[in-house]
Amino acid sequence: MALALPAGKGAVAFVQLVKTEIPVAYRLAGYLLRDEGEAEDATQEAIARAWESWSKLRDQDRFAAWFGRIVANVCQDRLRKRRGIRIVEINDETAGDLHARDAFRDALARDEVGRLVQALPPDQQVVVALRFWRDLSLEEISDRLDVPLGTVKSRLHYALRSLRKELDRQGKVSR
Amino acid sequence: MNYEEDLDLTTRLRRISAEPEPDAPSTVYVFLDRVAAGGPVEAGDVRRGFPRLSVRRSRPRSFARLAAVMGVAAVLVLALSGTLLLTIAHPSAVTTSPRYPDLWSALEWQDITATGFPPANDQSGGTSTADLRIVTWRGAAYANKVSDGSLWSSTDGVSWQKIAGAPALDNLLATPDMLLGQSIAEAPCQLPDSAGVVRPSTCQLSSVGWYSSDGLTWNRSSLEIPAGDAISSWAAIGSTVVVLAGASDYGMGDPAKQTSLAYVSTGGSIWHASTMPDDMVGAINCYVVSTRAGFVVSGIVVDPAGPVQISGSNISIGSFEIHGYQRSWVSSDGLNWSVYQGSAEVSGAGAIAAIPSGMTVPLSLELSTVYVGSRGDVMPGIGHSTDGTHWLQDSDGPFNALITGQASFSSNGSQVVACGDGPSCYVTLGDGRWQALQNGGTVSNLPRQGQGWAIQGGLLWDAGGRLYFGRALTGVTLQQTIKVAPAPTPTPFTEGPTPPPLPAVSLTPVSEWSGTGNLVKLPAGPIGADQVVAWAHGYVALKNGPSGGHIQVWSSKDGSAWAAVPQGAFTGSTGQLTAIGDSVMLATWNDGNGIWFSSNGVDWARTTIGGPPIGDLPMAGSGLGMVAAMDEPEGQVMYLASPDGQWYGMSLPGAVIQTSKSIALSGSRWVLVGKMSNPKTGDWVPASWSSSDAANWKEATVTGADGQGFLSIVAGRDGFVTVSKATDSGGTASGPATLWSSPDGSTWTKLTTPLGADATLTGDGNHVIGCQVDSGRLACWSSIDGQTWTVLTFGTDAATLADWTALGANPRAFAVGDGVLIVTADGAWYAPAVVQK
Repeated sequence: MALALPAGKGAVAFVQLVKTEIPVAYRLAGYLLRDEGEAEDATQEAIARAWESWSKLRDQDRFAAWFGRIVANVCQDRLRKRRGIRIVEINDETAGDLHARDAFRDALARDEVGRLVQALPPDQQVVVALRFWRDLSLEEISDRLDVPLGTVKSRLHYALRSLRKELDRQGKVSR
Repeated sequence: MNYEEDLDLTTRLRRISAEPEPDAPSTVYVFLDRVAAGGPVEAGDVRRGFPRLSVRRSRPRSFARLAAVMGVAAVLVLALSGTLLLTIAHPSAVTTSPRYPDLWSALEWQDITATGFPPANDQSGGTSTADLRIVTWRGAAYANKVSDGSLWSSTDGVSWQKIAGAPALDNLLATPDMLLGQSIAEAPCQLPDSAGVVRPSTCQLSSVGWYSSDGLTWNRSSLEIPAGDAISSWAAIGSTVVVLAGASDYGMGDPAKQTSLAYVSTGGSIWHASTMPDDMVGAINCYVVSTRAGFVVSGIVVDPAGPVQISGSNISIGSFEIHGYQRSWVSSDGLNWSVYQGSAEVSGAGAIAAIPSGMTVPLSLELSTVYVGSRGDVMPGIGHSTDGTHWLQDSDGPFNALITGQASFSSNGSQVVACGDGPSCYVTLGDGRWQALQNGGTVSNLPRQGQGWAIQGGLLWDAGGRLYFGRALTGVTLQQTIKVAPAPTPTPFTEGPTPPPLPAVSLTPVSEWSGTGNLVKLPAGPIGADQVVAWAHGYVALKNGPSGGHIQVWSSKDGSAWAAVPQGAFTGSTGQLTAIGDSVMLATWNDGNGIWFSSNGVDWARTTIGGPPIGDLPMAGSGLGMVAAMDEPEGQVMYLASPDGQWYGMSLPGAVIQTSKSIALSGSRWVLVGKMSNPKTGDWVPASWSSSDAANWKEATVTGADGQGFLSIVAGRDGFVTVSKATDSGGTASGPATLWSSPDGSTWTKLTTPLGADATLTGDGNHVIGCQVDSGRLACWSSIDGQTWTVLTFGTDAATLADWTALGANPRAFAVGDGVLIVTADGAWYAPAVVQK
């Protein structure tokens, strides 16, 4: 489906609103997807999805939450599709990428807990990212993901419990 | 436990994004500008990867590197294929030329569960707990089972002996000369008695140190961590050991005023307090690691202006928020410490920063654990170092790049082993090169999702409640393969014995309506109610409050005469009502959580019902019991059976990932709707499950759905009605609504009804009512099966029906026995139904 892109007030407002959200969206996608390139793709996909639904957004004051929800869902979908261990097709180009530095991957590699987050189910990863890397309240996460508050709480509980167990198991900190 | 109060964990999580974050590339803005310019953008192309405008960095081709990459990738592909290949050992092994003669190449597995050594006591979630601490010392393995404090030893990894007379330990550490342990001891303290008089007592716990020169005879050292404090970490370099301690947790007192303690010993028997800088004494969240070049302590220095933020709460001071700076201190002897002066801008794998003493360590060391190999140290995610001062990224980079599942690391002082699920393990001597370990032996079914320890002579694997030992082989490549069981299905969540199915009930004949009588405004109706439920003794209505406010509850025996429950009787601004047994339950959340029960609708008692938190989960109930749907653990429903008050949890068939939206109950038929992730594509698809006993659930057939999920469901006596919308993109359902009906929740067909996209639907298990405002007038229909709809005329009092829009948006109608209750933001009305004879 080709998107109709009417020039004028709607598009201008859309661009203005999106521009303010791109940094936050890109970083959330980067931490979740652990790849600068895929974060870029995901951000663009979110922009495209948002543009598709732009005419249905009634309250532009809620744009940030609305766009953030789209970004989170895009990332969640991508995580689900690559669930489990990621297989990388080896060719000249990707062989180089395997050794390439990636700001998000590096950030997550600074602490073992960053690596462990990757092993959580996608739904839990998203909640952890929104809670600790975007500093959203539980209620804001519930709103952003369109899931009940209780679900947010349980996902966070299970995620943190898994991380703590694994950290303890590795004997990094005896408590 | 509330894991959000685990400050060590939450702080470390927050640190990840505390560094200067990458900026979005300009290509994203270029893409947006294309939207602004009105250029052609194909949404489908975007999802296929277009219009990514970035240019990949090209790199020189390296055949050696490529070969290494392909080798590791091939191993991973094998390990990840549907059938895991286990190689049979030894007789068919082929001798090869190893990189190093002592580097392990294969593991010959055997089950040692029956040898007396106990496996970890917690297998929940597929991972073991920290119940075992294992060290290798003087050619033997020593294992401390933390849960009972026991100490075990083995020289071959197979036969284990419990060391009698050893103190109950909760940690182990080995130095070249000594085996060290810690134990928890009771300590004298002062506590108020029931009269408030402070008396001597024995209550608080202190940590004490032990040492042994032979592993058998243990002596108490001079190390004693004061009561109220706890050992957070310890590390050794040669015979020098550093212990770091501080306030045991943040459950008491002001965490900002916590002080850290450090002790050092050169033999393990006599301990001395370290000399620490003031900022290190006052730092929180400290822990110590060792490298070949020195000790490094990392923590947070409290400072209101600091960029690092820690928040939480405890019973003593309530909520707190602490700001500070991340800081590290270094010491070559563990006795004297100085601030690490490395550049805060330096981080990441391979990065080096200088410190005043002359040694250099990577900044990332503050967050990592070091595993010792015979040819170098290993820092997971960072790299390796042969001197503890210069760290390099591992040359087998694909090992780090390709494994995204969680890996467990361990070391026996020579071999450093990392195991993922499977187990698929890799080994290194610390030189930055990893080698995949082949699995062989007599074990035909090596459980996945376990924990591995490299010990003398092999690898211990604790999984599935059993223990295995893989004897290490060097210089061989195994040839034959056998198949092992595929990955197990997730363990279903269960909170009790096998659940008894709820009994089926015979339906009470329900009257069918031909319309309704005159609508009468109620003087004390549940104005603005969001929910009305029928229960054994009448009806209860609930209205959610604004943020920071309170819910309102009303009760009625017949649906027409209502009495308000005093406002403020409940905490929470949002709630949900559910019938259960002969009672009605109210669960609240937002601005206060709680569970209340009532047996008369008027008097409510706050209580607890155990089980997982239900909060705002979709739930429904009746005299049979109640069912709540959970998204986590994935794809679970649970029910609270009445009258035994026991929660039971069941897995939903096919629900790898599921979002539950709504449950409805008709007679003894439960139907849950929502959406689930297609296991093959990851896309959302509409999903529905039904059960006649709450214990056994069957997935429904849904074909031709326009939307990505069902949003809500209501029940009549002879069928169910659910709603989907045209799009569910981005978590926001929008577009025209589609109604679906099903007699039993097993198959769904689209409905053609007079109801539009903004209609509201309610159901009480007997009658489904749908209403909408057409040209300012309220129009409602009722149905008992979702197929046949009867218009509700509300009598002939046209004046009453006029201009519903002015009476408040979103009027809702609820079936209350043989009558209809209509509520808006401004009023409540009741109309008796005209019952067909």
